[in-house]
Amino acid sequence: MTELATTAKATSQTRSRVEIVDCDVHPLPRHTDEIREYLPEPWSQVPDQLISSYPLVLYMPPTQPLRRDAFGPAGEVPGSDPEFSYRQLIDEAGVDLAILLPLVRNHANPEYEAALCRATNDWLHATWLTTHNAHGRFRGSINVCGSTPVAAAHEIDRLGGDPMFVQVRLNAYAGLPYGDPFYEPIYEAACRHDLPVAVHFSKGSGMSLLTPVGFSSYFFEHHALYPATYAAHVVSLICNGTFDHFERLRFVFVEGGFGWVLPLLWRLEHLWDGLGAEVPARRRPLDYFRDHLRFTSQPIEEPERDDYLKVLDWVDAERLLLFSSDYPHWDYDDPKQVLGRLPRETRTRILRDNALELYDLPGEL
Amino acid sequence: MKLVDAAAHPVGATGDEIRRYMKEPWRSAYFPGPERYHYASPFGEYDDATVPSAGGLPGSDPALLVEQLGVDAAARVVLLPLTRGLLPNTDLGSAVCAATNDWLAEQWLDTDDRFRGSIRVNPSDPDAAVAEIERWADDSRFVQVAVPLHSHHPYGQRGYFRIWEEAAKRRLPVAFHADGGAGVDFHPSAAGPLRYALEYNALLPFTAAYHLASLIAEGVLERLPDARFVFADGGLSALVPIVWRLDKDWRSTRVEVPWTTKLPSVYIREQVRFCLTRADLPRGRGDASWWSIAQADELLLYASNYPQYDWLSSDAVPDGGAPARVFAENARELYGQRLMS
Amino acid sequence: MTLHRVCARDELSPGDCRIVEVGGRSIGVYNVHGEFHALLNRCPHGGAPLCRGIVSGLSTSEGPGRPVHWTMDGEIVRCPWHGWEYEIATGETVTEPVIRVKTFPVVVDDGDLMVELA
Repeated sequence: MTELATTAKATSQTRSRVEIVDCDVHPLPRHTDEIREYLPEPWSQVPDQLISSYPLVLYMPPTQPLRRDAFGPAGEVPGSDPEFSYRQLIDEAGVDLAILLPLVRNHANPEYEAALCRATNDWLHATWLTTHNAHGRFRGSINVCGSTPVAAAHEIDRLGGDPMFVQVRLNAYAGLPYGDPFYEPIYEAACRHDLPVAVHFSKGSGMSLLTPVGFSSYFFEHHALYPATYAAHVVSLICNGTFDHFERLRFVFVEGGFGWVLPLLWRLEHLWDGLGAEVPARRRPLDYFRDHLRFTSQPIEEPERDDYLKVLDWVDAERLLLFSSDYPHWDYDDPKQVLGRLPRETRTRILRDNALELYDLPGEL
Repeated sequence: MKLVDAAAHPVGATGDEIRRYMKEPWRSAYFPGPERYHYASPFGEYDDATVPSAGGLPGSDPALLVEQLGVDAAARVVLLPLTRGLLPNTDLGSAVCAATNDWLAEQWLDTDDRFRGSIRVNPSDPDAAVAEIERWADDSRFVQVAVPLHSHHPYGQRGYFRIWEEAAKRRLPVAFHADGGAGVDFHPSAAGPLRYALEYNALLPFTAAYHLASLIAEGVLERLPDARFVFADGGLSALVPIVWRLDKDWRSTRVEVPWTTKLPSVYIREQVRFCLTRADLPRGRGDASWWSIAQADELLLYASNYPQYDWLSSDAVPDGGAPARVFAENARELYGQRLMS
Repeated sequence: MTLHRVCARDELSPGDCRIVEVGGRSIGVYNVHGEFHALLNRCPHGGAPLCRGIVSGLSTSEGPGRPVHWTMDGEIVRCPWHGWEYEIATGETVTEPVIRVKTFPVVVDDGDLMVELA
């Protein structure tokens, strides 16, 4: 399908207010060749499985990694058809603006991974961000390989001036937590272009999956403990004083929940009293939290009791939480369903205002 | 019984005392001292005030411990001696455990009937671990089994099952605690190596979380309804949202773990407990409701973690800082007759 | 009580589901081994179109290393989003039967399947 979808939203002559920004959507190429065409030598002939953005299937949600109702009319893989995705996400679910995060997983050769990131960025730009974006509702992420910080900085400089790219995207699996000075070239470049840095899981194999106590057996454990990886990055960023060096840097932790942030910060504050004198950070944890950290809402927390509103209040969700659906993955959150219990003002901030501010997005389209 | 301290960490004056209880070749073998080497606090891992006036390591004087913890006639202290980290030589690790148990019984449990003990076993050596549990289980002064928090496999995995089965059979809870010494451990975070003791300590509950998820996922809690587990480094507060997530994900992934029949939070309420440490206390807004959300009145056990630098005296827990059951009742229920007699 | 025609009985084979819009609601009608059941096509968890999920069975086991048994084949539907398991005949989730999706009676009338709405 190359025609642009003609929908009520796209053909409307009057500008309408952006009500819902979706901060985590996953587009895929229809075929690996779409990415391959952008890969330089010596990689133009790599096997398909080294291009595919599908996570390696060591830990998979049983039965379905993708929404079963998100396959296209001709059986297209969910997320591979911009027009069908538009219909489901924009028309049916009511999303007005979608931030796209194509996924690139870890590869053994960091230079290859960096080349694959560049190729993915070029593909995204040529397709979802231009040809299929006449409606102007898609924005993108600049994928970079964390293991090659200097090359990553070049990539950010290459694309950072394009307003269709609204953030940098790093893999949650990194080998070194993100507060390490090793990553400074990336943060310098991100700040040069005033781009937030988003972190998202993209599974490879081997050591990237190792926990402090070995390898988990089941997807159940593996997925439930995503926050553990993000907690390590958050603690590292705070303790290493990363935000002292990069005052405009903001991190967005995607798809890792957010309820865990609050008691972790309490813990850090307690321990800071006895152990903080060793770390380079100049401010206290809670001071960094509000200015530099953001979290997306999916998968929405489901506490057993109705203490949910209290916790949102404590974590300052009104300012720090960004709505996300994770379309078209299996654990999708529908924007009209998940935030229903919140007061309207809070809901509006989470669905709209926090993202508009963070990404400098238009309030009307 | 007004107060039960669920975790205090005694040590010998030099740390080498356990050699007396070892046979050759282990008696003369090299192994780390009891102090932490990796990620120790650069400002002192232990409270200086716990160093005996006659010299010796912090926490090595039973009388001083009793005095500083304010142990009265009706109190109990569960002693959890640390071993020497995840040692690469399995047999040496088991020998260190057995000697530690002998030393504890003679040098501490024999001296004061308010002390209770933990049977140290080596999880890398299930045969020796089962034998060691059997060796001490009839001594009712030992109220639990103890293993290091760090391991090379999540503790729910099959190789460890016999150990938990034996402990459950003898009605002995199993406590996890980050060990002393130096170990052949993996990186202490899922994002790689950390640099600072502050980072390490902040993230410790997440290491516990992998074990907690594993014990549920692998059906250990399901198959051993009498098994009880204690996370003695604490971390309940940090884990509350993880438990929500475990419940949520179980509803989607039960088909993958078909031997589980209950929500994770139900297993936890029935079979898992957490020691209260200073770092678990809520701060600022939300104190009053936090413990209710955390189900602390069922899940928490007060512990001093003496002689850590930030050990928590029961007096130092702020008013309303924890439900009353946390200070004795929950421990009585967990450890049963072994605690009281 | 009103009866709404779904389709001819022969048109719904065992293992299949037919989704119909009746009385303002989307309802999925199933043939489970020759018996007919109907579920509201909306998962009470997150609002997914439940009846677009696959029809499956139930895994049970006594523990890792023990055999995994596969039962109730064709009697379970997995929500197409978060994968919740529902027993089609009762509408109850496998994990917590107290959580359930609304069911509707299905009757066969002169070769036609009819779903009954209150």
